Amino acid sequence: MIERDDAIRFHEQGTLDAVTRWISSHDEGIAEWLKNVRRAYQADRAGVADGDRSAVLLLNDADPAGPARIGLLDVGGATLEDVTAWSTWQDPEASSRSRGTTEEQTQGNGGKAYMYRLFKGSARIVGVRDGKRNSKGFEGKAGTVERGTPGFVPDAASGREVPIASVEVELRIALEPYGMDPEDLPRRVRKSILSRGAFTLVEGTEPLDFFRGQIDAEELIRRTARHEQSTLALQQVQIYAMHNGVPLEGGKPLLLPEIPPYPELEGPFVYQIPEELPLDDGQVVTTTENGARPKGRLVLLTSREHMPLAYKNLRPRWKMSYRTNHQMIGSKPISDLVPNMPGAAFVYGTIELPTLEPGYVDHGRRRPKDGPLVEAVDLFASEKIKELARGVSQRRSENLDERSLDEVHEENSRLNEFKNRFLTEDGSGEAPTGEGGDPEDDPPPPPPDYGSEADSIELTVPDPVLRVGLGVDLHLKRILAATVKDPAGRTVPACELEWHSADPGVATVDSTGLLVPTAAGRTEVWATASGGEVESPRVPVEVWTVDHVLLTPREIDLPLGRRQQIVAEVTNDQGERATDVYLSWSHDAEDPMIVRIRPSGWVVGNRLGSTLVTAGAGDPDAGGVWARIPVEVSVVRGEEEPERGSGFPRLLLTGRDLDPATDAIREGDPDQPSLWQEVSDFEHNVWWLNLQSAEASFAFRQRAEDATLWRHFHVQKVMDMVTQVLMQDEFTRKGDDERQGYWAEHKLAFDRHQVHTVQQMWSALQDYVVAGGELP
Amino acid sequence: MATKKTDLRQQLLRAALACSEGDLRKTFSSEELLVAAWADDRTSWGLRGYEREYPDSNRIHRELDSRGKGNQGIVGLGLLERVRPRTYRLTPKGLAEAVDASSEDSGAREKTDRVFENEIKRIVGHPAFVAWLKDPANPKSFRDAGHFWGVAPGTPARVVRQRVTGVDETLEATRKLLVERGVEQLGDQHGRILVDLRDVERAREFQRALKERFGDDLRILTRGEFP
Repeated sequence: MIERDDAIRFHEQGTLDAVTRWISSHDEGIAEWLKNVRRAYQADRAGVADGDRSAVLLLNDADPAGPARIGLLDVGGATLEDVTAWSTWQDPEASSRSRGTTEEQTQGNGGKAYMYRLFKGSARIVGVRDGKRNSKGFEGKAGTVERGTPGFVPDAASGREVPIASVEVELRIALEPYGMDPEDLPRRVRKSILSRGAFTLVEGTEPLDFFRGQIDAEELIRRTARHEQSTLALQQVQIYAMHNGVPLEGGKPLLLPEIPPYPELEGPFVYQIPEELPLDDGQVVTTTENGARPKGRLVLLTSREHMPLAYKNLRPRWKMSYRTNHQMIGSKPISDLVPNMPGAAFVYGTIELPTLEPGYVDHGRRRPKDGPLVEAVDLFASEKIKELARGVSQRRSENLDERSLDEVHEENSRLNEFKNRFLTEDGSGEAPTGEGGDPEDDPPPPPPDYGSEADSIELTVPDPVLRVGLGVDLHLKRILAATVKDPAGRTVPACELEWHSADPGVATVDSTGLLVPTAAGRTEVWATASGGEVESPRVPVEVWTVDHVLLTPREIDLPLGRRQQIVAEVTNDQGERATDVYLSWSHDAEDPMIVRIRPSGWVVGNRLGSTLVTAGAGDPDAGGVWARIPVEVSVVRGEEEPERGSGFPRLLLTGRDLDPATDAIREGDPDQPSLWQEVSDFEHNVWWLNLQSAEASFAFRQRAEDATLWRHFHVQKVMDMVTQVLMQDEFTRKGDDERQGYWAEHKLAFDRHQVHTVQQMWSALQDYVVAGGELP
Repeated sequence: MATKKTDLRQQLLRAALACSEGDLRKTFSSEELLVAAWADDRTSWGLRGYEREYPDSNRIHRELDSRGKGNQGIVGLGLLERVRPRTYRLTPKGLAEAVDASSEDSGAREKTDRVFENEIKRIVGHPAFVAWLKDPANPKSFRDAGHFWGVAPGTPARVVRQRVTGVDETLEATRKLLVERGVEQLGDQHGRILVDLRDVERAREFQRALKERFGDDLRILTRGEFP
């Protein structure tokens, strides 16, 4: 039993705060107003005909004596019923009055919350229709209960069902504070108001958050137009904008800015959402409430421009928007669905699914509520985004001329040697000095002590044998750490090696030292130099036909920059087992750089994220065998800073040089700077000239016709690298006073600007570089 | 043909599955177990003459506890583990039988498969197992083997037995599950393999090697009761 109170009691201020706090900017508020207009025009409300569906946003900050104001004038004509409904906070019927079906939700709060929170002066709604005027509004200090309590404006006698002389007179009075006459309105709006004999004006004075009350009209219009809550209104209603009586956008209706699609992937790409979708844990969710609701669809679009880099125009639209039949219910950045996915920066889209309503509609409709249906649909969408993003990535990769690449590789090797003259082997540009010592007084560093006459070839010979899976190609120079020495034991750099196999029927070795197994069995490999006069020790090789691979451990948390070995126990077709068989390794993250894996199973955490790592031999579709159960690797933030590798830093070339972290050729990446260094590179003390970066690929393409331009670019990058190495040394060896991460942060910011700013600048400057003349 | 005894045991396992929600770490009291079993079959688990009104706690204790040789209770069979007096949890072996005994949907089955995945992952990911793969002469000291089993000198004999046989039973239950389903792997709906029979067999070889190598230590710790 319970003896109830006579009414539910709410704390007025607390409730007002709770239902209005989500609105925080004028573009959000105006978007809510626009939605209300669209809703008011529907057949069950004002019933505005297609030809009359227009409105005008009025911005005024030109009157030195009066306050700035923002208003939205539409042709609907709010009645007493409408302004009374407007007066009620949190009315769930506000948008669906006299209608059985659910419409785009206006909550009964959005526009009102805006008028309550973001204006210092009075705010009101005034409606003229059927020869009467009604007006209600707010007044009082922002954020107070007093302001949140609506009332007739200026009082009931003058604001409630007041007979009017004519619509035109009322319109003239309403526009006066904006310094406008009805004749100044867009023709279509004026005509519709007069022909219908009705209008509604919602407005607020003294808008907050504008510097000195000056409205940045162009920016506000831009932001409003790209707000996802405005989308439907902009599609269905002709919305004009005026600032101090002057039409904006050339007097034309506001449009959603067009996004030029990615060439050859113009789309839109439409996918029907299956009626049932699985979750990660195996559960299945229905997307149609078991057939009771319509099926949904996913629409993906592409952008010619990198969306997150275009801060003002495209970044706000780099989203997955969620819609039901009638309304936008929010959005998520694409990066939430597919983090670290190259190519995804060019993809955006919409999920249209009626079943999301009402269960997943959150207050304010910024994001859909979390839950199994959204999770399942997101999984579905992320797979489709990945497919499309892969297509974009493929098209972004430049096909570089192989012959030129070989030449550049050779040039780069020479420049790499050259730059060592300016560095010491510990990576700094000067010999270590005592405290207070003057580097000027110290002698220059001695030149590196290299030999030139090959006398012996040193290899790290595996004990007892080098085992490799059939189908796994290995770069022997890296695996065996081949080094040529002169008679004095000094390293002979850049000495060409020839590689040999005793039984090519088991394994061949090409001129670059790439071992390619051809059949199970045993053989020996070795290297020679100086036309065969110098020969390395012979290395026994066993090629295994892999029958089973067991990987362990099954889960690894790897701090960034740290390494751990995944042990792969291989069983061959003879039932023999070993854990030292070289295999091919891969992982399933869309970002290939999350981890770097060597053929021996050593994994380095290179970027934050998670992936499933697996290993095997051969093409799985052609009889190759891979581990059935992968290893879950999570790269996490570590407490210790990565340590730089020893020796001279090396400048390597993408598309040609072997990555010491993987023993495979590092491919270039258009989303990385031209001078590129990852965490794993830092640990190996290498840098990459990234030929897929925008300006590097441009310079490379010009090389055939303008070799000077290329060489200038190449040399500039070598100098940049040396400068960074020296700065890195300077900023990290000053002792305990220097924070360890200082340089890392500095470098990160430098790279970010290289990618974000320099690439955009480059895009704008290309024509100038090619043809000269005026700057863009 | 199932006997009445088997039916009661299966009912109890189904009740244990319901109480634990398939989570091997979740414990439940004998009262919770009884009420779950009684809710399923009031005739079998109800107090005589008041079957619909009250459960009979004597009946459950008859099924839980051993009643002499040849009549082992559900705990003695390694299907449930007694955590504390009157508090139990499912063993992997018990979970496998419980899933067999229940007519749960494929989602529940997959959830159970994930329990086995985690159990096998724990075994094959253990540093002692990894060291053994690299060199079968490892582990060389009982301390490393004890780390794998979760026992050390001073661990009560009962716990030592339970932990070592627990690994055996987990591996055997997983193997049996695979064999009974006629598959070499357990996978999820996305096609991801959760458990591979060959890995399980390899883990069993490891367990056998450990037991053989450290049999004397185990016999000392269990006061000669370890076979």
